[in-house]
Amino acid sequence: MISEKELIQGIRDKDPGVFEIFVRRFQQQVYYTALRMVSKHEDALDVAQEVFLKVWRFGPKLKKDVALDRWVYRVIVNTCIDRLRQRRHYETQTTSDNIILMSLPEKGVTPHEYAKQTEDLNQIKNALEKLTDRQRSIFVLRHFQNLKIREIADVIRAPVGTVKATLHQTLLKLRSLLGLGETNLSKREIGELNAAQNASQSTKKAANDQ
Amino acid sequence: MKFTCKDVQNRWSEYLYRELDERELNLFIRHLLECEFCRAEEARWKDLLTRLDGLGASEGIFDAPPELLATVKREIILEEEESPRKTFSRLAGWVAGAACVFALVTGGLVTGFEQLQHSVQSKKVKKPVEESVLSNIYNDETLQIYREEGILLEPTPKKNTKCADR
Repeated sequence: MISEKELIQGIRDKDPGVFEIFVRRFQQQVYYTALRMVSKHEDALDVAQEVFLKVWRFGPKLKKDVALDRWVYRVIVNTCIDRLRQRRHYETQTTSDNIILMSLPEKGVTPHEYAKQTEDLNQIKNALEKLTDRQRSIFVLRHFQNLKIREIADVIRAPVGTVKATLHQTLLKLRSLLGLGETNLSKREIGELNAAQNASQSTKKAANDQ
Repeated sequence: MKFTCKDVQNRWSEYLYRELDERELNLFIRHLLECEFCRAEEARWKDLLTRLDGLGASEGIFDAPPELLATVKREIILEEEESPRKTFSRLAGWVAGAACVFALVTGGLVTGFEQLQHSVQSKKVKKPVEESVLSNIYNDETLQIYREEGILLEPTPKKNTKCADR
């Protein structure tokens, strides 16, 4: 098993053998992140190829002490954002039917259930499409790639506070888009709730004291 | 210290993705135990995450396509083959550009120099002088030489101002 340092050195030296190991090791991560970012299989495949070509081209400039994982994520995110911009430029809006790639229904799933699942997924994909590039990057890295907020901040080169706030806004937006109830309490509602809580607690306290 | 609904509301994403530290998590959970409204909110948030997880679970494509590695290899080979050609064409471009600049600069310098020379020479050309001006200074032989060289102008005939009729 080749270590990360050896991998970095191999990429810096443009060693084809090491590079193949690198592609094999990272292809799943690159493709899956790209698929979540750009939604379409063809685009994700293109992005994955481009990411590896960029790594090959810019490999000699790679710093020796770089965190390879995060650097690759940075390349993926930037390439995906470029692709999304291009798509917005040159394509008319695709219908959600074109985006969905469903597996065959499992045994025991009725056509009705299958149709409902498809509809649900369409709704989620449409909601993800409505996120901004930054929101989508942060959400994909956190939700699907399980990166910590600190790591995401490093990948997209933004302060931790910004990542936290953006993630929060993204979840609120998704919740609203997916029709899962009101997203936010108004200040007045919070005030009322806190007042009611304090009142009930003081009543309990008074009852206990007695 | 206690968490209020507002505190909780600003930290839902950190709670759901387990980003709170131990102290904050305790305060958060304690609030949830006390607040019915926030418990309902938690249920909604978890519903959202479950639905989002469904996206990954229900799709047919999970693995990177097997052709990815082969395509990348092919692209790299192509790029490496084209690389010297690209370098050569880039170099040729630079050389052609430099030659153009050199030609323009040299042409400009030569033209400028020629124009300068021409203007200096034209300044050196002796202007013809009227014979009457030099006739007092030089003798007839010298004046003859100057006349032959075209340096001396023929004396302008004086205008006859007198009217012939008078």
